[in-house]
Amino acid sequence: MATFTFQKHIPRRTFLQTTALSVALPFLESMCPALSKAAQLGSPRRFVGVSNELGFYAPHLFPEEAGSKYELTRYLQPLADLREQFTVVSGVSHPGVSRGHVSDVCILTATPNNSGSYFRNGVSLDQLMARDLGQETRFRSLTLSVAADMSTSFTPLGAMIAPESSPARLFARLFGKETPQAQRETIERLREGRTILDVVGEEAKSMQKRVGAGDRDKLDAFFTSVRELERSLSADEQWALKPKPQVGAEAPKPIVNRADFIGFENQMYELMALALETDSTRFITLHIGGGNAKLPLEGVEEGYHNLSHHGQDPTKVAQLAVVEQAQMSAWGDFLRRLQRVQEGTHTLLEQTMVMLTSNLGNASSHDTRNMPVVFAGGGFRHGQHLAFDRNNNHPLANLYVSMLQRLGLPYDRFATGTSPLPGLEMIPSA
Amino acid sequence: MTRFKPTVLSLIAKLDGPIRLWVLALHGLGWSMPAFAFQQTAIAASPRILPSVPAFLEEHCTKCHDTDSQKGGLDLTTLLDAPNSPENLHRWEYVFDRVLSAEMPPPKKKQPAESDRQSFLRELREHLIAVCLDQKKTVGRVQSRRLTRAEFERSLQELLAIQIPLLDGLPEDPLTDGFSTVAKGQQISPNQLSSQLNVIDEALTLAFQQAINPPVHWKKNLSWEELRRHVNGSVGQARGPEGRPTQGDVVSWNTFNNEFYGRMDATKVPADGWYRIRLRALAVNPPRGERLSASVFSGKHVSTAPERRWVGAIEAEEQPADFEFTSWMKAGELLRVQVCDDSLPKKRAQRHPQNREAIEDLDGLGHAGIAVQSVEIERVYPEFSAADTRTALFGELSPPAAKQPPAGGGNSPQAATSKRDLETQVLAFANRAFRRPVSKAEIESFVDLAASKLAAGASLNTALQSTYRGLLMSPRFLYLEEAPGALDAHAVASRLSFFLWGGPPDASLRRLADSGKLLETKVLLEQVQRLLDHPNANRFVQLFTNQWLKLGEIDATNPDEKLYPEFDDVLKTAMLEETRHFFADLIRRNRSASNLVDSNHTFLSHRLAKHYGVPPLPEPGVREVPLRPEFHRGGVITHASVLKITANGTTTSPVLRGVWMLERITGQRVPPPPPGTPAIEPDIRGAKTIREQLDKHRSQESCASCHAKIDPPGFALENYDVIGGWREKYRAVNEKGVRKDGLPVDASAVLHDGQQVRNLQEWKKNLLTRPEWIAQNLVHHLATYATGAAPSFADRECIEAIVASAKVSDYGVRSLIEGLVQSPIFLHK
Repeated sequence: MATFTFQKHIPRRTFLQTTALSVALPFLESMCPALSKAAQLGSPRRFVGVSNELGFYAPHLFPEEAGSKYELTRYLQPLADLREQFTVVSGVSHPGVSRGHVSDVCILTATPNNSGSYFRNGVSLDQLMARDLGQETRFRSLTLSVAADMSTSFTPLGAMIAPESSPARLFARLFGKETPQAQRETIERLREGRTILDVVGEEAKSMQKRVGAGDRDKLDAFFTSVRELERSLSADEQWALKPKPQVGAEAPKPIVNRADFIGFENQMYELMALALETDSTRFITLHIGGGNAKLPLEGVEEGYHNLSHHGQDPTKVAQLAVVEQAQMSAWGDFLRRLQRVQEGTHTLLEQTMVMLTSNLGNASSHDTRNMPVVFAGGGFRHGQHLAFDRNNNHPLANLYVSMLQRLGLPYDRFATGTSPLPGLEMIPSA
Repeated sequence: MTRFKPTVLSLIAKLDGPIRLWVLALHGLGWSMPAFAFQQTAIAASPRILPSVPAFLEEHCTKCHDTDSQKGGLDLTTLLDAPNSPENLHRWEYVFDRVLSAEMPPPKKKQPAESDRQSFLRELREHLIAVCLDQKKTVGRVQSRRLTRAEFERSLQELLAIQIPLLDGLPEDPLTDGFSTVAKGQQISPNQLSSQLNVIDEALTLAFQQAINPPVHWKKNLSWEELRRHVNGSVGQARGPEGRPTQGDVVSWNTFNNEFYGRMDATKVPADGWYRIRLRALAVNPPRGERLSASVFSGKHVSTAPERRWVGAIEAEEQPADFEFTSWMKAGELLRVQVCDDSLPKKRAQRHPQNREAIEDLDGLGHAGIAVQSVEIERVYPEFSAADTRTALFGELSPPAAKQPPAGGGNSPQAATSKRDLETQVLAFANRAFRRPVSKAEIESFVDLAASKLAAGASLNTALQSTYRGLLMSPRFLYLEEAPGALDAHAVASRLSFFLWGGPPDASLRRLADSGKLLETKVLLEQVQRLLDHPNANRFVQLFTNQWLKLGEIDATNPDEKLYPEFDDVLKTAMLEETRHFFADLIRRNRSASNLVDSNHTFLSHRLAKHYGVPPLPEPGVREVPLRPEFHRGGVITHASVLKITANGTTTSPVLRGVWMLERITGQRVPPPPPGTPAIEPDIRGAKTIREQLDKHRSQESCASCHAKIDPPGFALENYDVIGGWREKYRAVNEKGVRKDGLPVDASAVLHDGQQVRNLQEWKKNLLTRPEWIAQNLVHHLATYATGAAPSFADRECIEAIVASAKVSDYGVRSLIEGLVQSPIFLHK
C-alpha cells in the first residue's frame, strides 16, 4: 500500500488516484444493499460530533489516574451516573495543527494547517460518513452551531458547510408541515433547479476550454458541486413527496437572551435527539462558538471569551468553570436523553457515537495540544480514562479511525490517524 | 543534487505518453525543459535549478533544516524534492530573503564566502523568476477567481436594479493571504451553490414584484406627542411620566433605569425597505463644553427580539438640530434613540421623594438626556427606481400589468411574446450578467428554458424568472473569465470594476471594453480616475480596509467592561470611520503612503476626539483634524480601530500587534511559529508586564530570530490600550476584581539591527527612512486584492518599479493605484 504524509502538498489529482488505489473507497452502490438491511433491522449506527471553540479548563477535566478506577473531576461530576457510558481521553491532539483559534476548522478534519501560507482543508469525519452512508435519510447530515458562524463540517474538497444556528429553523426543516400548495411549489422549484443545473454544468465544461489549464481544478470543483447539488435536489424531491415524521414536541420557543448559550445548546440537543430518534439523519455536528457574550449564569459577570483569557486570575477561572460545567451538564443531559430511547435491544446511546471536544487544549494561551476529549456511546467499552502522553501527544484522528470502523467502513486511516485508538474496544455486534 | 535527480525522473514518470517520451529525451540531452510542453501536470518539471543552489544549502542550511531536526519548523529537503512546485515558492522566498539579509546562516555558525553567497542568491533568484514566469505564461499567475459574497450581492443588485441586502444568505468567504478574493483559497461546494440559488431566488422574486407593482409611498411626520409611549390609550403609564410639554419634546435619559428608553413606537415601518429618517433633536444637560453623543438603532427593541441594526450617531447640542439618515429597516422595526457615551457618569434614577408614582426630576438634577422634538420617516428608493428594475428585467418587452390574474392561464396576453424579442432580452441580460458579449448560440439553452415555459402557458414573468435563475447560476456569472497571457478588454473591465467599485462594470466601462479602447493606457487611466472619484469607490475603501487592516474584525472581542467601561457603539463606529475616511482621503488627495505610519492629520468625530484627548471640535460630524504632539496620534498605526483589532479585549500582545504591523504595514514577512510553540499566558494580575514574559520567550535562540523583528513595533505600541486609548500605566484588577493602576508602560525596543528606540516616535522615524517599504507593501496588498493572488517572486521588480515611478508624488496612494493598474501584474492573468 502506498503511504504518504499530508505534510507535503500533493496535487489533488494525484491524491485522489493514490487514495483510490490504496484504501479502496467503498462505493455507494455496493454499500446500499447491506445498508438497507441494517435499516430494516431498525438500529443504524450514528455519529454526533460536539465541539466548542474555547475548550475546557484542563485541571477541571482530566482525572489524575488512568484506567477505570479514576476519580471523577469537577467537570466529570455531572456525568457520574453515565460513568460506564463514556471514556475520557487525554494526551491527544492533531499533529501539525496549531495557530490558535483558527485551528477550529481542523477539529473533525485533522488536516495539518501549519505547513505553509496556504491551507486547504480536508473532509471532516461526519462528511466522510455521510458521503458513504448518508443516503438512507432525509438529511444526509446536519451541521449545526450555537453562537458561531463556522461549522466543523467540511466537504471532500475542503469547503465549509454553513451551519444552521436557529433551533426554530431547524425544527421547521426537520418536522415543519407544508401545505399541499407549498409542497407542489417546492417540488416544482427543485425540479426546475435540476434543469438549470444541467445547463449550467455544460457551461462549466465549455468555459474550461476558454480559461486554460490552470483553472481546470476550479471548474472541476464547480462541475462536481453542480452534479452533487443536482443529485441532492433530486433526493430532496423524493423526500418532499414523503411526509415528514410526526413528533409530539412543539417548535422551540425563541430564546430572548442571545447570550444564553446553554439555552440554545439545550434546544439544539433536544432537536438532535429527535432527529436521530426519527432517523431523519445519522450524522450531526454541533459547534459552540466562543463569542464574548456574558452568559446568564449565576456567578458569571464577564464575557465568555474574556474569561477564557483568564491569565490565571482565580476570579476569572472560577467564572469560567461555571460556564464550562454548564456546557458539560447540558451534554450529559443529551446523553441521558439518548439513553432513554430504546431501539430493539439497544438504547439509542449505544447506537450513537457522541464525541465532545475542542480545538484548544488551553484557550488562555491558544494552545492546540492536549485537546479535551470525552467520547460516549456507540458500542464501545467505556468507563475508563485513556491517558496518552501529555508531552508527546497521540493523534486524535486514531479515534476517528475507530469510529469509521465501528460504522463498518473499511478505512484503516483518516488524515493523521493511521490505526484505531489503542485501548478503545468495540463491543461486538450481536 | 543527488536528492534531485531521482525526483525529476519520478515526476516524469507521472507524465502521460508522448510528452513523457519527449521530456525524457530532453532530459537525457541535458536540456532544460521547455515550458510550453506541459499544460498543467508538468509545471513542477520545467526550469531546472542550478547545482550550486542545493550545494550551498547542503553546506550551510540542511544541517539544521532537514527532515530530522527541522529547526524553526523548516525542512529544506522537501524544497529540494520539488524545487519548482508552486506550493514551495513562498518557502523559497523565505530562504532567499533570510540569506539576502544575512540572517541565515545565523551569526554563530560558519559564514559562507561572500562570492558563494552572491552566486547562490543570483542563481536562486533566476531560478525562482523562471519558475514564476513559466507558470504565468502557461496557466497564469492567478486562477480564475469567483465573486466574493460582497461582489455577488452587489452584482445581483446592479443586474436586477434592486437594493435589498443579500449577504446574510451567503456563506462567509475564507481569507487567504489576507483577502477573500484570493482564488486558491476560494471554495465551491454543493452547499455554496445551494445558498446562492436561494439568494438568487430571493432577489428575483423581489425584483419582479418591484418591477410590476408600483412603488409604495409611505411617509410619517411625527410630533413629540405622537412619539410618547402610549399604553392602553393613556400616556406614559408603563414607565412613568415622559416628555416635557413645556419644551415640546421627549427625552431619553442617560440613567440605568430609563423610564422612556428611547423606543419610539410610532416610527414602526410597514415593510422591508430603505427609509430616510430625519430627527430633530437636542441635548439636555450635555457635559460642559461638549456635544452629547447619542445612537440611533432600528429593531423591535423588545426583550423577545433583541436584534438591532445600526442607523447612525447623533452629536446633539442644546440648540435643536436636524439629523438625517438613510437606513435599511425590516417590516415591524422601529427606531430607538439613546445617549451613547459611556465615558459619562451614569446613575440610577430614583423615585420622586413626594410622589412615589413618579421619577425624580432628572432634568433639574442635571442628568444628561437626548431630547427628540419630531421625527420624519419616509420610504425611499435611493439607488434604483421601479422603472430601473423594469428596464433591467424586461428591456423592450412589455411587462405584465400589476394585479393580473394568476399565472398559468393558456390565453395570457404574454403568450404573444415572440421568440425573437425574448431572445433579444435574454441576450441583453446575459451580456450584463457575464460581463462580456455573448453569442446567441451560447444562450440558446437559456432562451429555450423561457420559450418552453411560455409555450406551456406560463406568464412572461415566470418564464423570464426561470431563465434569469439559470443565467445567474452560470459559472460565467460566478467566475471572472480570464485566459492566460494579456487579459482581453472585458477581463480588464471586470478586474478594474471589482477592484475599485466592488461590483460589475457599468455601461461606460462595458462600451470601452467592446471597442477595445480600454486597453489604451490613456483611456485606462481616465477610467481609474472616474471610478475612484465616484461614490461607489467607498465600497472599495470599505472592502479593502476590512481585509487589509482587518477592520472587519472590530467585533471579534468586546473590551472587558471592568477595565474599559468607556467603550460604546458610537465610539466603535467613530473608530472605523476615522480609518476609512483617512484612507479614502489618501486616495482622493494622492497623499503619501507614509501617512500610514505617521501623519500630521486625521479624521475625528466628537466622541473619538474625546477618546483621544483632543479638545472638542468646532463642527459636528467627521472632520479633518490637524494633530499636535500631545495627542500622541499620527498614522493609521495609531488609529484606535487597528489598536482594538490587534488586542483581545483584556490585554494587548506586542506579538500580535507586531505581526500585524509587519504583515500589513512594513511588509516584512515572517513565517508562522513552528508547530507546538507554546504561547505566552497573559496575566492581568498586574505583577508582571507582558514585556517581562516575552523576554523569557525571546531568550531562546529559535524564537529570537523572528521575534527580533516582530516584537519591536509591538512594544512601541504598548502605550495604547486595548481600545486604542493612550496609557502610561497598565490597567489591572485587584483581588476583588476592582480596577486599579498597574505597572508603568515601557514602550522602548531594540530593533533588529541593534538600534535602540525609546518609543513609537523613534520607531516611526527609523521606519520612515525607507518610505518605499511602506509603499511596496501597500501595492503588494492592493495587487493581491485586485487580482486574486499575491504577487509572485517575479513580480517584486515590477512592484519596485511601480513604487519608484510614484516617488515624484512622494508615493501618493492614487499614483500607486494607477501604477498598479497599468502594470503587467494587473493586465495579465
